[in-house]
Amino acid sequence: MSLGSWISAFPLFQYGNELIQRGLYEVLATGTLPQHIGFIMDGNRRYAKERQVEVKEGHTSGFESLLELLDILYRIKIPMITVYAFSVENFHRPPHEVQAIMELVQRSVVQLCQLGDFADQYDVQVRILGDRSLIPPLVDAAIETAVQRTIKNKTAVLNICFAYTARLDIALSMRSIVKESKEGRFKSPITQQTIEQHMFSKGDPPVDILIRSSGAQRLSDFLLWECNDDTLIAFVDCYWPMFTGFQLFKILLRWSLLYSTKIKRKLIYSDQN
Amino acid sequence: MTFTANASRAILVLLHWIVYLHDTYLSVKWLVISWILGTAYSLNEDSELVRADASKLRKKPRHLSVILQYTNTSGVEALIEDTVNVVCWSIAAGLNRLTVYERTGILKEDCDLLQKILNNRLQSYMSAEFCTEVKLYVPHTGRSIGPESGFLVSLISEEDGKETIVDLTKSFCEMSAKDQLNDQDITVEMVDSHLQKLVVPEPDLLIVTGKDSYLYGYPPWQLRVCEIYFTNKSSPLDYVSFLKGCINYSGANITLGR
Repeated sequence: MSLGSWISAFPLFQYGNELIQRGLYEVLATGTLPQHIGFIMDGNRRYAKERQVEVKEGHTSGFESLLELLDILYRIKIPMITVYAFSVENFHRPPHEVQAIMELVQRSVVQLCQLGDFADQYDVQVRILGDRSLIPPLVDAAIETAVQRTIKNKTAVLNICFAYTARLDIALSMRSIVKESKEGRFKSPITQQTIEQHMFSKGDPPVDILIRSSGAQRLSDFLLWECNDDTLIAFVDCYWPMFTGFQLFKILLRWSLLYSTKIKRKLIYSDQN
Repeated sequence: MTFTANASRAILVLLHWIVYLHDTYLSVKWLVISWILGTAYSLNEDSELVRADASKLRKKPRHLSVILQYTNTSGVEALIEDTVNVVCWSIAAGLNRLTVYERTGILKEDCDLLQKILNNRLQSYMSAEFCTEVKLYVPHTGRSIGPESGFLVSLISEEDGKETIVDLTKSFCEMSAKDQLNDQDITVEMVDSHLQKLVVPEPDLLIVTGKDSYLYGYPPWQLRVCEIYFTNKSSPLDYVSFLKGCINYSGANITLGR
């Protein structure tokens, strides 16, 4: 054990750490905050491999890490968070791992939505985005019952992308538009908004920040349509379970700086005209 | 720990300044480095150097794409200069094709001029045995200039992104109205094959110029798993950034969900 990790294991140190972090986020909240943040939680398996523990444990610590971050974000009242839990491509993984992730997601969603637990504490509505027909029926049913319990919550939203890929999302949106137009349900011409209204994320505010852990610099078929313009992309070079509140803070701070300069620039521009 | 609202606000402004000064320090440092490098090497005239660098890469992107920024102050000339540079480096590095994205579409307005400048530069840049010609292609209009065998350079802009997906949806609707298409036939593969023809296939590596990490309206469908490299510099695309992007790519290991 290194000296740093020995010191950081002291309760007093952890307490102080938490206080500073909480203070920093309070400071951040005095400025403009993003309305929607996306997370690609990558690196759970490599984290497990490095620590020589089971892959399942990697995913579990990934979930714990997510809970910590959600706790921070919902406390400063960020209304919408979208996380990438399971891609359509992930079905190609070894069956036992697919099953393990399915179980974990099911357990996590149920836990999140349970009465008096996370979802109720912050009044969060949990939604599942993805092609539900690909999810095993038993898992789907369990998730559905859990999610239904949070439907009345209005303060914030947690989107869990499960059996999701962005390309599938766009293609399915096109498909339902074609179907509706065939039935003669369209009065106005088709625009980008029409496609957005038929996507899984319909009605959500634009994604302000997309964060991907584990150093990979790809979107991996996540929120392609939503992130191609005004979204700050942040690739972080650490495994998801090691992604801390401080790292998140740095990204949010940069976004808030960019946002405030953008607003100022817009004001100057409109003055000139 | 509680702060009064004013104190918190002041601290936030202070933190913003720290980030801002840090960024300024980095860009000044970069300017100095690139000035020193620029005096030491004249990269724009030396294709051998690029070839030597590329030969050290473990894996090269076959299809490279770059996002270039148009500004009123530097004008189209700067954009053309950037394009010509990146075409030269790509050919010298032995890549297969290049797609240049520029949001406004001003770059693809005068292809003939671009082609002329490109050919002139290539003649002086490449050694005789490697001299290649370039085929410029504008997917949106379907126009192409240059020989069929030339190095393929596609020029795209914002209209090739979401707008093209909207247009494709419209034509699907028309086909469906005439009973030429069943809505169930619309799958990811089917849409992909159309968009590959209408725009470009997905690139392997995307190098994004510009100070901040945004994607500037790049066609979303083509972003699926391509490696993205942000130069985080507002200055034009320089060789070091190009090389860094390629090095990043050669170290990337795409697992595709597995």
